[in-house]
Amino acid sequence: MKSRIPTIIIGFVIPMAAILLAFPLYNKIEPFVFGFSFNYAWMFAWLGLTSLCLLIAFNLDPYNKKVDDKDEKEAK
Amino acid sequence: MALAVFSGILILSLVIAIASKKGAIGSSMNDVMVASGGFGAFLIFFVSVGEIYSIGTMLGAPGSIYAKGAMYGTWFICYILLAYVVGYFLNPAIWRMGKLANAVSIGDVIGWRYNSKAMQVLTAVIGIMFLTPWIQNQFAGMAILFNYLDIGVSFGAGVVISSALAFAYIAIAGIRAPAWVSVLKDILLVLAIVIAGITAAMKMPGGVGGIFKSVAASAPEMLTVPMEPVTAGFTFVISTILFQMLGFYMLPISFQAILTSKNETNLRRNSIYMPLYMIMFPFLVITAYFAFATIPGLDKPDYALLAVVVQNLPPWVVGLVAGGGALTAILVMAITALCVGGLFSKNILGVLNPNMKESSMVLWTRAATGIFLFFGVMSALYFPQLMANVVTLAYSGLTQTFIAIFFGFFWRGATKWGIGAGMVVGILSIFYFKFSGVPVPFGFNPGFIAISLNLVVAVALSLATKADAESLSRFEKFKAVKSKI
Repeated sequence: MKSRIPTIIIGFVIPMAAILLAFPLYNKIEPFVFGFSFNYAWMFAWLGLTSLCLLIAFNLDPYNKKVDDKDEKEAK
Repeated sequence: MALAVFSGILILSLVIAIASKKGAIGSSMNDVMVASGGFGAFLIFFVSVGEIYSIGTMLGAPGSIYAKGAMYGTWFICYILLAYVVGYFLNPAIWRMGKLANAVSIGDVIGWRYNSKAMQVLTAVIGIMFLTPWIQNQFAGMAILFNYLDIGVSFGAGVVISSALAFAYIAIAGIRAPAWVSVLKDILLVLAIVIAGITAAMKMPGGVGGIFKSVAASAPEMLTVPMEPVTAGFTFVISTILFQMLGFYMLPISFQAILTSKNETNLRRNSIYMPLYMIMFPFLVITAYFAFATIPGLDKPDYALLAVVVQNLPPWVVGLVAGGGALTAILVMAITALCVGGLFSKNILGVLNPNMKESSMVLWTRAATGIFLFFGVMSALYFPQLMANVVTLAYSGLTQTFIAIFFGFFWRGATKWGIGAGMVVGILSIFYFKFSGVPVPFGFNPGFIAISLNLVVAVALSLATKADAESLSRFEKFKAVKSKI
């Protein structure tokens, strides 16, 4: 089986680091982004970016490929 | 007009519940509780967002931001967002073990893995105990809704009608009814929140930027989490996010939603979309800070969103928001009460009386659902003061099962003695912090301390005791399925 490490880095480590580790860096008011204070703008941006990370993780995930193959075989 | 829109929404929800009934309902626990694991991606999405975004999201989130600022805003947004990240990896494993255990609840899974009826009962008792505040929170939300919005329905009448509807959904079609009604509920919930947010941005000179600039000038402390000293807010926010993101899928209602899935790939795919559904949070945040800047001194902070709607929009929109809010509360009540009913009949009664027939178990589930709702109504009518801000309490207790699940997947040597004692110690320390008034060390979330103690006890006692052969073979069975996929 292919390694699952890239999936875990992109789908888990990156979003966790962006929200938890980076917290002291984004917990500030300025600069304003699209009218929002910086911390809210950062968090809202990560709603979309987390989704994107999970999408990439999903496509790299060796577990899914196997399941899909199995589902298809069963369908046939 | 408001009343007509409101009533229309509730009637429509009942029609959907009736239409969701598929064939003869009531024959098997599996069908009533998890629709026999038959939900595809569409319904999985709605059943999982349906129960998580409660009336607490619509009223409580803007209310707490209005009162306490970014500490609460950051906590809510980040813990839910990261829970989906955890869920991507955790949920398929839950589902897989659920299949092996033929489970309809978290009690079934934990009882199966550790080969212990006592663990099954313990999990069910913790579930019921800490889902009670969850359901009471829905009633509290309703009190806010009916007391503040004068649409011609009193709080008493509103509560009775709502819980009758919640019971009707479950009696008609088990989990299928709330799953389908959730489609209507979530459209209305998002609509109400987006309308409030857009209204706020349009009424404020300078739009969203105007709102944040004005708060930054008048009360900058509302916009960030206090960091000096770190115990002023930082440690609490971070420990709460960490703790609740682990607890999110341990809520017996979320756990049950996972078990309704047809396969694991859908669960992973679902985790991709979930953060996008959080698009309502920017609108909630805008509404909360707009209310803070323009309507200071509300009687209760939880009126913030409603005040923005009532002061700026016509009656039919007020009716829409009231209907959306009430339906949200009803739906979460229905799912929670069904979950409690199942935990009670299958994991407690079923263990006490192993010869119980499945048909009587289904009857008991329905009866317990009704009784639980009835007590909810009574406590809402006579002790409304009990119901303030209790979601945290629900999480602090329910998350204690995380250790059981996590070690269940990864640690062969975890024993029922270690895991069970850990859970008990976790729950006891929650009560200790809740009632003793002792300040929590370093300003941490009390649940975070509780789960740390839980972990230490679980590891120490598991190392000191030996797992029985059956639970070891079940662990191997689980591992075998995993490597096959």
